[in-house]
Amino acid sequence: MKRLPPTLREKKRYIAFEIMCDEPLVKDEVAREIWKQALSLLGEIQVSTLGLGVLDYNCDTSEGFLVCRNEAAWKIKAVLAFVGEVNEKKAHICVTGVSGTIKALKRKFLNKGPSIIEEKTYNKRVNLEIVRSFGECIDALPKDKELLSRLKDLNMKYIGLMKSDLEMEKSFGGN
Amino acid sequence: MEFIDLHAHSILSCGVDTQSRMLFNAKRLGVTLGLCDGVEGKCRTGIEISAKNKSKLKSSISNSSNFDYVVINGGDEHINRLATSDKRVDILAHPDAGRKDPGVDSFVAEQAHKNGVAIEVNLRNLVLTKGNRRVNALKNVARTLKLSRKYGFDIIVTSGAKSRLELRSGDGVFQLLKLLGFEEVEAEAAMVFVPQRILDNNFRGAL
Repeated sequence: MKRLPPTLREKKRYIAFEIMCDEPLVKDEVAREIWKQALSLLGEIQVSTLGLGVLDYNCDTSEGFLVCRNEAAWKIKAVLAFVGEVNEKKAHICVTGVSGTIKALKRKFLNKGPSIIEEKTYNKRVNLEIVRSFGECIDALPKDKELLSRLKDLNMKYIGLMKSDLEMEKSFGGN
Repeated sequence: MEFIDLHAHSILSCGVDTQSRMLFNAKRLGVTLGLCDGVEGKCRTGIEISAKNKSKLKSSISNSSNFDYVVINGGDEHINRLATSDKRVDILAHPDAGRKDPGVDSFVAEQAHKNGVAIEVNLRNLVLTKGNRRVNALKNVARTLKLSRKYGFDIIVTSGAKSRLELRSGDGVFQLLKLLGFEEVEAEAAMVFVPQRILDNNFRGAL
């Protein structure tokens, strides 16, 4: 079929996002959740006017981007702020930038975060099993029963701390 | 878009992340964070009080002068009324907890306006609920907004975060509020001006 002439084509916006989650996610899960949230929040009629499409998601860097119509970008941002779980796993989708072209989006907003180092070590001082680190941040598995039950309630796997917290037991409330 | 979030928890209360990690993630999202841990920390800290009767509520409020702001856990009609009638209270949180209605009636609205108590819109209720519960939560936000326009009390938006993954960026929250029917000025007031006023009123010196 012949394409629409440029003057009749809808203007697009590409939205770069980063997903924070304790477990690795694949593109299908992410796309399904975004569509599900958009449909439940805005309804089928509004979603049909958004021109929404999840174009790419890199599970190694937890970054991806989607496309939507120019005027609908603010609604997509609202939808992404509503996402609290992806496939029953606690997650947060954070918009890192909006651009008019994929080239500019990749140059400005993607592949900017520190790389994740997965290495399990046990820290006796704070009674935590350190699972992974990126930059100054550490994700760890606690041994304390109360913390484990809090994590279970929140549907999460790891507690978050900074490298500097390992020096101060006060950061954990004496646990 | 700036966002001052005054209701989040770290590992020192009921959260799972250390204060430094919460502050680090908040900074990455462009959010100024206040933690409701009930212990003095690395940022502005408030205390969240859950009380079942008048005497306990009053004594807890009296003992909270060390903190930058006082948050009362609402839900019960009587507690909602008591909290908004006290000038020392800064925020009435979860006024609709365990209720179908928003927990804010004309009396609570008038008292909140008179005593400068901000009524909370907690994003956690909206994000983590599904189906009928979310519809009910959205309905309550709309009704609170309607009452705020009539009686003039302040609305404050908070994430209610108990983990780093429940924090929300200012831009996302702003668009979300617009979607819920807030005017741009109202959204900005709920995200920035009202929390800033609360912090300024209770300023205890630089950290």
